[in-house]
Amino acid sequence: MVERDFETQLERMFAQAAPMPDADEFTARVEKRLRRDWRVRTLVIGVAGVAGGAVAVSQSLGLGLGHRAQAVAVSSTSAFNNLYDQAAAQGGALLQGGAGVGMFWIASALMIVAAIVGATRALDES
Amino acid sequence: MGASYKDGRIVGLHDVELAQLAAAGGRREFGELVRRHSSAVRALLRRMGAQASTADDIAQDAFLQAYERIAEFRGEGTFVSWVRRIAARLYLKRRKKDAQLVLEAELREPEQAPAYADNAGRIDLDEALKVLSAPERLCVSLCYGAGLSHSEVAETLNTPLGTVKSHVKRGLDKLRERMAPQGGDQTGSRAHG
Repeated sequence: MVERDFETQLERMFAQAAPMPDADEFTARVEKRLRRDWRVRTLVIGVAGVAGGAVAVSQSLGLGLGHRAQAVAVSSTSAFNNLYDQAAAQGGALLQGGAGVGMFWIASALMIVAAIVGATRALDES
Repeated sequence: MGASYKDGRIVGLHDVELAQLAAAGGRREFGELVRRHSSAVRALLRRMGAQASTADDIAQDAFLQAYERIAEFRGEGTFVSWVRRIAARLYLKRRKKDAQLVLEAELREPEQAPAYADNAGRIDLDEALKVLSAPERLCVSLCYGAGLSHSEVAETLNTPLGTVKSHVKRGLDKLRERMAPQGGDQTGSRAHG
């Protein structure tokens, strides 16, 4: 019993610690590292996303996936077909190169949007 | 949750509530947890035998790791106990080789420095720990400061369980003797305000 009391007392003493004079500086250092780690992570994820997207787009173009997707879309949805024809008829230079080029620009736009969102969040958090 | 801010600090929130907010991405709330408990974590590492700068580095890493794993903290124990365990494991991981050497080293009894007692004759824990050998100090701090079991300490240090138990027992005996209330006439103790 006495032994247990002493051990409890010891645990309590270990739990107690006088506030250190530089506690605020220590906290500031931890918070700074948290912010830095978050920025690095955001940047890495953003770069990885853009790189992955670029690879995916290049692969899609290389395989002619865009043409096949276009064929499926045209045959299954007349609405999409009409919209596409309308855009092409209006002389949309971006889409005149065919479905593959169209997909490329759409994917590029999505990547840019993702990069902007990531950068905005990083700035907000900093 | 009734939080308010005073001098840049968050008041009115329990650690568990702050941890929940931190788990949702609240870095400011986590900063408040660091502010509340950094001294306890740093003190434990120093009591385990780490130099001040090393203790601070490991304490920082422990808090960062705690932030990464904050979703694992469910409020079953106290937040500070949880972080202390993380810190203790980090310290041992980094110094595993040294720690083993310390445990295997021939025990050298530390010098019996004069004990500093408070007005009631009780001795400060940090002063009392100085009478322990390095292995005793490490094992006692891990068990009673970080809350690890004897088995966990033995496993972490890759040391026989019996060795850990021996170090703990000898350490406790010395601490008990050292921390017992002392009479005013006893040599080696002097009160300080």
